[in-house]
Amino acid sequence: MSLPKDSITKDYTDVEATLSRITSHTGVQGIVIATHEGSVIRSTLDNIQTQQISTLVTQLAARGKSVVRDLDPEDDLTFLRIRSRKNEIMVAETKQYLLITIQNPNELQKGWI
Amino acid sequence: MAPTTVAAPNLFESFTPSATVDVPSTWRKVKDKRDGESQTAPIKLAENACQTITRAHIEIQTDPEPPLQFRLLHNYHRGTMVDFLAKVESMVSSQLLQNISSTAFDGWSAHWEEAVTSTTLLHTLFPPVREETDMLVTDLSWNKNGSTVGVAYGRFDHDSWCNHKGAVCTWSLAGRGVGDIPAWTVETESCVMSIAFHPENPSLIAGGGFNGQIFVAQTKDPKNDPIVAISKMSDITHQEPVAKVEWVPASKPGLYHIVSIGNDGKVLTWDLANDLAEPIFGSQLFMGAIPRHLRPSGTTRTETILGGTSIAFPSENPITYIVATEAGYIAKCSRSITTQLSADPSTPNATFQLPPPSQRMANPMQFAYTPHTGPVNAISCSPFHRNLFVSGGSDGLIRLYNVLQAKPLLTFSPSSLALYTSAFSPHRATVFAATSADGLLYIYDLAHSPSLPHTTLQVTSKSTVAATALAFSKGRNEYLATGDAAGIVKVWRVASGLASESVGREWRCVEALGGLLENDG
Repeated sequence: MSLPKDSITKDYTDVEATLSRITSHTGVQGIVIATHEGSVIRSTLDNIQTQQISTLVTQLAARGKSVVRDLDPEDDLTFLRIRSRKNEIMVAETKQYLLITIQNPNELQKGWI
Repeated sequence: MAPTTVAAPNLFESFTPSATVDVPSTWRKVKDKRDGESQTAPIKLAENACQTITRAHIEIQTDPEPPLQFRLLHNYHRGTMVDFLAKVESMVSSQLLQNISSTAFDGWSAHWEEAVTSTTLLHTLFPPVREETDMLVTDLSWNKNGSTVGVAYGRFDHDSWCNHKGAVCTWSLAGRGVGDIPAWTVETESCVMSIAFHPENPSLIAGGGFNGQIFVAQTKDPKNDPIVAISKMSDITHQEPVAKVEWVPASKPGLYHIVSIGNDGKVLTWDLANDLAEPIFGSQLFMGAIPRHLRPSGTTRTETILGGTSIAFPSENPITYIVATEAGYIAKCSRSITTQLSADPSTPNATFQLPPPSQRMANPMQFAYTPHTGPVNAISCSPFHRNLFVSGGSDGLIRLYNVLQAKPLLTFSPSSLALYTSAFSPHRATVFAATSADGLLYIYDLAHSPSLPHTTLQVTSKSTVAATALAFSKGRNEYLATGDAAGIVKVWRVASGLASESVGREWRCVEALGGLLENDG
């Protein structure tokens, strides 16, 4: 950690601010930031859900990544969306990290129950 | 002297041949004979006993798997993290915003099960052979699992007192041989007018009789008396036929009270804790709360009792309920306007004084809706929206009301004859059904058409037999039961389109109807 201390604090607040911005979108149930190995960096979900999501979704994203690369070696997976009956799971990924967002797209319609 | 008689040969002397002639056989030979002896050795017997006398027990058990732990990474490069987040945030945010307003998946529903395109008959359940032959089905109720249907038998055409014996039967639809005989039967003193299965305990049934009695029966233990509790008749209980019984959640979770409404206008709350000895709360419907412009012309006394015919409880609203009356009025009532009629069974030490008869029954009505002409036979609240209910009247009209609005939102006139039932589907927010006096079942789907029935079916043998009871199964979404005036119950498999879970489009349709006035204030 060669960064000066105030820079670390600034980065930290930046991360938190970004996360809270994403969480505040309608229907967002939770966010997990993980590495490709399945380690979790930040999560807004409880331990059990975080465990499941980080391992399972990371595996699926890795699989998707290999499919995209096999089809075209110069291509790469950037975004993965899984639509289910209840939720939509979005995975944004870069070389190092994965941002997993879970959203209930029906929340607007069901907001009154 | 020589004898003179000649000795004659003796004629009667037996003649024996003096000699035999042996002719030796030319072919037979003398057999050889020889003596010999033999004996088996004596059988040896031996006895032996054996028994294992030692036992060994070994118990094994796997240890519970330790809960999976994820690895929380503390040391990572914060700079790249910020870069990463900055890079993906805009993308994720725009997708999240798009997603929530997207209609791309609307109307799309995956069909995991094979679709059934039409409503078909599954089982026909005949009434058990009894002394009272011409009994009709007065009410139907599914148990919590949706595998057992309870049937109440009684009659509607009483001139005065009921001399019939009523019955409650249950049929199990699981397993083979469905429909031959009821799984469980109990006879009652008078016609049973309404039954309701307990919402959590699949073996408890509450019922209301023509003589005003409320009873609770158990189907679990055939050795014991099926009737668990039965109410006594007194001047605070129902003195006219019970029109409807319902289980409603009590203050504690898992506890349920029984609410009954009778043709004497009384709405009584019962608790199993005091074995239905006395109702714990009561109120009575009077004409006084009906606005003057809804009353018939001429003088009507405000203390005229309105006979109740049905009761329904809006979802997620523990305070209000909707009542339907014989005079055609439909009113919203409050459970807080009620009189305590007996000591609370949960606090047995509290002393309780029954109020004098003049103050006994409060009038719970708060708000009256546009009335039907003629008795309202059924009302049902939407299980999906707290503001919606449907009513079915003897005038052949189905009306869809918003709880907050006196005028009906929609009126359907499927039949010129009386409607006996109407009920919302517990599975799809826009579906409700009704049955009529000519034996037709109408199933409406508001998402399909806001005016015409989706399905119309003849559920009785002929059009002169009325369909008198209807019940959607809560546990199995494809089951629907109808009962008719011949005492026959039919179980239908509802078309998949009418039973599938609600998706966005249905929600919006229901919300548009039910939320109308909420937005206006």
